[in-house]
Amino acid sequence: MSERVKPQFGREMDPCEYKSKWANKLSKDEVVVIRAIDNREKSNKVPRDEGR
Amino acid sequence: MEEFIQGKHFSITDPQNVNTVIYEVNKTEKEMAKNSPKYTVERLDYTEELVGDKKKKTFYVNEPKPEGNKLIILSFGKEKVVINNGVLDGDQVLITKKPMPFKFKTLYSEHETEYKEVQYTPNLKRPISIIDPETTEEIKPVLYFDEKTNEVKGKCKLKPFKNYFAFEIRDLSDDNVRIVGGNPVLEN
Repeated sequence: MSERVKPQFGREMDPCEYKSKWANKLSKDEVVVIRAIDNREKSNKVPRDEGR
Repeated sequence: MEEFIQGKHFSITDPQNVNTVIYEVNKTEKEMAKNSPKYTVERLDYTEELVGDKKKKTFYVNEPKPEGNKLIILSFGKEKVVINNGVLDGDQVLITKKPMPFKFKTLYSEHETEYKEVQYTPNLKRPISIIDPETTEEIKPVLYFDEKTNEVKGKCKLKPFKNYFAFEIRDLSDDNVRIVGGNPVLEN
């Protein structure tokens, strides 16, 4: 037997709504910063000044 | 000197029993929007390595944009998913400190072991992603054209007494994002 799924999320199932400013629109205190690296650099490469 | 567009990568570490997936979100250009979804989500590729009992995941963004790449971060645990957002901005990824948890409810059905074939009429302008939290794999619906109703329909199989998480982007601007998520609801 097939059943139908509601494309909307029914109220009875307590849907969640996540509303937020994008992280780049928040102040420094409200975000965590992670370093992004160019793909041409190997991810396990140890920067010269940190490898000592 | 010739310049190439370079992708970027960044790493996060998942605690035990947590599995993070990241989607890049894009707003469809106005010219394309008439017959296309208003927003599209694309899952980032990743590699992982074990660091002690934790998993270090490295996510790859293939096309960094000058205005930043908008990211939706979903961290799946046993009973809940934590929703967050981030932006790849140059050489850094900014992630908010205020994620939102959502506790799963188990998909109800009278039948315990069968997969249920779920049919629905998708709103192709607002695609819904359904995820199995245990594997973090997406449950991909098969789309077909129903000649009787003249509609595009979708069907996928969901297992009763198992958690699923479904979400869609409701609004997206340069400043804000609004996502609605929840458990898929079965109607008899």
